[in-house]
Amino acid sequence: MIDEKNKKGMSEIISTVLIILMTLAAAVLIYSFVVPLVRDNLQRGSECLDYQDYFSFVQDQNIGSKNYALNCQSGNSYVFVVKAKGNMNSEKISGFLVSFSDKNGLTKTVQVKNGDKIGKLRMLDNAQEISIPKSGDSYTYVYDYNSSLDYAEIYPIISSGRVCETANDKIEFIECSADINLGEIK
Amino acid sequence: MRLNDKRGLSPIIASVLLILIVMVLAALIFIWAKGFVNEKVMKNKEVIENSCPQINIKVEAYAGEVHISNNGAIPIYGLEIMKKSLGSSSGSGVLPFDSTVVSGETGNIEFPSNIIEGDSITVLPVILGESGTNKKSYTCSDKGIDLVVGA
Repeated sequence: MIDEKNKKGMSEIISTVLIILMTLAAAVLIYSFVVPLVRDNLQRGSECLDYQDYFSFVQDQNIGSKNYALNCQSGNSYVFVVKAKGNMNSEKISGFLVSFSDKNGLTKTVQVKNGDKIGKLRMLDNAQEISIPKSGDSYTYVYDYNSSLDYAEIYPIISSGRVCETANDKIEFIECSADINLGEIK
Repeated sequence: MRLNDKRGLSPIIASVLLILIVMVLAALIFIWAKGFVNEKVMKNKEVIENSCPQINIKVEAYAGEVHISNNGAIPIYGLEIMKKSLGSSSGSGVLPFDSTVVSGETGNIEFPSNIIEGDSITVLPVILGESGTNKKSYTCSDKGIDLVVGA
């Protein structure tokens, strides 16, 4: 028969120290694993919020005494002007995606990043590389495509490579006026 | 084993410990979550965007300089000059005045080297606000004034 008074086990101090050590180990585990996981997911979830409206289309531009209606079509060339919102950190943006569509809803998307070689999408000023407007700037692009396009929407691409899913702006192409020189169609 | 001999933390110590732990946890979560919230730039105790509509400036561009007179209540810290063309419109970045142009005063800034007579430009006023303890400039994009550079 076991003597109740002589029962032995861990002392209270040892068990308390063990509990504290286990708590500390759990805290370190949570800090090193769970916190970065949550932080990364939160950042990924919110990185587009500030830049959703970063790019927009410029409808018309006053140069000197002339007013040019932009975002227009001439033959198989489509002109659009992209403006980047002011007072923003441009380094967080690596490019944009333009989604062209016709009246039947058929779409064609073009993704561009700084330094891309010109192809069907080119700069109106005949630059050899594609440039993305920095905060406050606006650049004019020409898209050569041998089919009818009616609308365009623009989506920012974050430096992480993620394409933000909400379009800030949508334009409908109009006929270009004769004074807009589109250069040679490639 | 007698029940009366059982020892442990007194209720007061336990309560104090619990409160301290909660406070430390709350502080940690606050510091961690603060990184996700952007601090707004403020001016006159409101977001700086609200100061832009109150700007009233007259701008002229000639003799290699942009001249402004401030007819509004908001001090103008500097200007951003955009050279406009059909192909691209690029900004100069913030060009600060030697000293902030307050109401009723005039100021002038030299053109960036890429702007010459006859160019179409947009002049944007830049004001100064506070973000935490730092001063931060803010370009009022909606208050741009279009003009052609004169001789």
